[in-house]
Amino acid sequence: MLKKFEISFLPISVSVEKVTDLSPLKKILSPLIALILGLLIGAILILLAGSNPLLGYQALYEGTFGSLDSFTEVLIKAIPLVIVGMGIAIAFQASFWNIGGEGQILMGAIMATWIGTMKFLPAPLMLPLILLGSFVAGCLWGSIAGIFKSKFGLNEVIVTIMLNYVAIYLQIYMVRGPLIDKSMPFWPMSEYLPSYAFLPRLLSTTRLHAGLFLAIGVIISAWIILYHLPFGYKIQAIGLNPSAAQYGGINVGWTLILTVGLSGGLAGLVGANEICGVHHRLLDNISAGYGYTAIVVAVLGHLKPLGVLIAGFFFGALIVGADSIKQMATTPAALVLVFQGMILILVLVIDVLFHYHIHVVRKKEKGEST
Amino acid sequence: MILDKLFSAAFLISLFSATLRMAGPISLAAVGEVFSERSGVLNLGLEGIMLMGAFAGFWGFFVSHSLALGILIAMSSGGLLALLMAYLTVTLNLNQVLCGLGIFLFGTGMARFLDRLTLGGSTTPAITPTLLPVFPLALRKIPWVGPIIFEQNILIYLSWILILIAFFVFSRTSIGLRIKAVGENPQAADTIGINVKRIRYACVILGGMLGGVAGMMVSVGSLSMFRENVTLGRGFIAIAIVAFGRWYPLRTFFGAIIFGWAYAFQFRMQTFNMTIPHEFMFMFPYIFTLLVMVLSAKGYIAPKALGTNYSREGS
Repeated sequence: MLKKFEISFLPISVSVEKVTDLSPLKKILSPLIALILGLLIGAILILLAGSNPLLGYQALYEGTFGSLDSFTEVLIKAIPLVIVGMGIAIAFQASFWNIGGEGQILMGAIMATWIGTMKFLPAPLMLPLILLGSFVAGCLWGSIAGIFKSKFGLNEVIVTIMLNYVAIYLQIYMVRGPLIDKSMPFWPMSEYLPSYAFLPRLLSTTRLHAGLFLAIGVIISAWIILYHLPFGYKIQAIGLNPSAAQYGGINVGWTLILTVGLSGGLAGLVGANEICGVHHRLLDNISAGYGYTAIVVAVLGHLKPLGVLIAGFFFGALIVGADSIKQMATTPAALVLVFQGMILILVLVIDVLFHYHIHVVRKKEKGEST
Repeated sequence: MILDKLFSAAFLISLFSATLRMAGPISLAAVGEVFSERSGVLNLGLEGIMLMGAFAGFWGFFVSHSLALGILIAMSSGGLLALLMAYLTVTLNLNQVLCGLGIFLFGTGMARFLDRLTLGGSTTPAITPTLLPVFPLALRKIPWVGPIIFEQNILIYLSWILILIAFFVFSRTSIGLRIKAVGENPQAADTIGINVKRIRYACVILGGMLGGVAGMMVSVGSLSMFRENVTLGRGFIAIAIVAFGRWYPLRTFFGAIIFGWAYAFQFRMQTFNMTIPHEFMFMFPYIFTLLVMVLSAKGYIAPKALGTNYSREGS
C-alpha cells in the first residue's frame, strides 16, 4: 500500500508505505521509545505535583539498583509480574482478553493458604500440593470466563472483571472467616504456614526466594508451548482469525477454554508464590494490582516470552522504586497507575507508527530525462 | 419476622427510593455507552472516565460551590478522556479493547493523582454539601410516590432528562439512524455519504461526557465525597447492561433500574442482621451481573461493526 504526498513548492515528494511486519530492530525499539516517552510525561506530572522529577528518578534508581537488598526486592516484585504477564500474554495471543489476573491470583492464594494450613499433610508433599492446588484454582476461575465466552458469546473483559470483584470479596471473607488465625481473632490474617511450605530463600540476607526459578521455568515452558507444540500453534491461529481456525479444523471453543485455563492457572500459581515466598500467610491486598499491571507487562513485551521477562523486570523496578520515593509529596501509587495506562497506549501507538515506512525522494526537475 | 420487615411500607419505600438513586449513575453511563457502541466503538475505558468525572465534578463543586460548574467540569473531563479514546481507535485504528484498558488505568490513576494533588494536603476530609430536594414539600408529602420519586437529588433528575433526550435523538431523528448505520455497516454508510469517523468521534465523546456526569453522581450525588475507586466497577457493569438492554437507550435504562435494585437490596439486607456474611452481600451485584449476562445471552445481536475499526483503505 503506497500513498504519495507532494508539496508543490518543495523539491521532494514523500511517500508512505504500510508494511505488515516489523523489523526486529523496530520490535525492540518500540517498547523502549514508549518507556522513554512515558518517563518524560511522568516527569511533567511530578513537576506539576511540585517536586523535582530528576530527584524522583534518582531516588527510583537508587531504590532499585542501588544495593543488593533493593535489587532483590525488584526481583521479588518482578516474579509475580512475569508469571501473570506470561499467562495474560498467552490468552492475548488467542485474542482472549483476560483481565481477570487479579481474581485468579487471589483464588490461587486462597487455595494455597487452605492447603498450607492443613497440618496433617506430609511435609515433603506440602509445597508441590500447594503449587498444584493454586494452579488448579486459578485455572478453574479463569475457565469460567472461557466457558462463558465460548458457550454464550459473552464479552470476556466484563466477565473477568466481575469475577475479580467476586474473588476480592471472597478473599476478604476468607481471612475474616474460615481461614482466620484463631489465636488473633481481631486481625484479618490467616495463621502462618509451616516453614516446610515456604519457597526456600536463595540468599540468606535477603527475601529473594525460589519463586525466581518458578518464573524462569514458566517463561521457558511458555516458549515451548507457544512455538514448539501444536497447542501453541492453535492458540495463534485463533488469535489471527477464529473463523479460519475453526474452518481449518481447530475446535475453537475448547481451545479457548484450555488457553484461559492455562492463563488463569499461571495467575493462580502467583497466588502460591506470594503466600509461600513472600508473606507466608494470607492477608488483604495480597495481590496489590499485579493482575492489572501484568496486562501492561504483556503488551509491552509484545506478548513474547522474552519480552514479558524484560517488561516484568522493568515494572518490578518501577513498583519498588515508586515505594522508595514515597517521601516525596506526590503519590507514587497513583502515578504508577497513570504510567501504566500511558505505556499501554504508547506501545500501541508507536507500533502503528512503525508500520509506516516513510520515503522521501527528490523530485525530478522538469525536462530532466530518465 | 424477616418477611414482616420485607413487606413493611417503610422498607419498601426506602428500597425503591434507593433503587432509583443507585440506578442513576449506572443508567446514565450505560446510555452514553449505547451511543459509543452503536457507532461501533466498544469503550472499555468507561470506568476510568467515570472515576475522572467523579473526581473532577466533586472538585469543581467543592472549589466553586457551583453545582452547574461542577457538572460542566465533570462533563468536559469525561469528554476529554473519550476524545483520546476516539483518536486512538477511530483515527489511529488501534485495538479497541487494549485502548479501553489503557484509558481505564490512566483515568483511575489520574483521578487519584489529581485528588492527592488538589485536596490531599488538607487534614479534614473534603465534603460537599448534601444536595437539597428540588420539589416543593407538597409533592414530597404524597404517600409512596413522594419519597420515591420527588425526593431524589437534582443530579438524578438531570440524568433522567439527559436519558430522555438521548432516547429521542437515537430513536426519533435521522442522526440516530446514521449512528445505527455506521455501527452496522460502515462501508455502506460511507458510500451513501455519511462521515463515519465524524459520527464515531461524536458518539464516543458524547458517551464520555455522560460517563463523566455519571461518575459525579456517585461522588457528589450519593456520597458527598471522593475516594479512590469510588465507582467500584460500575463502569464495567454499565457496559454489561448495554448488552442486556440490547443497545436500546430505554431498555438499557430499565436494565439499569434492575441493577439499582440489586445494589439497594444488598445494602438493605446488610442491616437485617442475617447470618449471611456481608462480604457475600458486597459480591451480590457482580454475581447478579454475571447471572443476568448469561440468562440474557440468547438472541443477543450486537451492532455488526462493534469492536472493529473502519478505514477506507480496506483491510
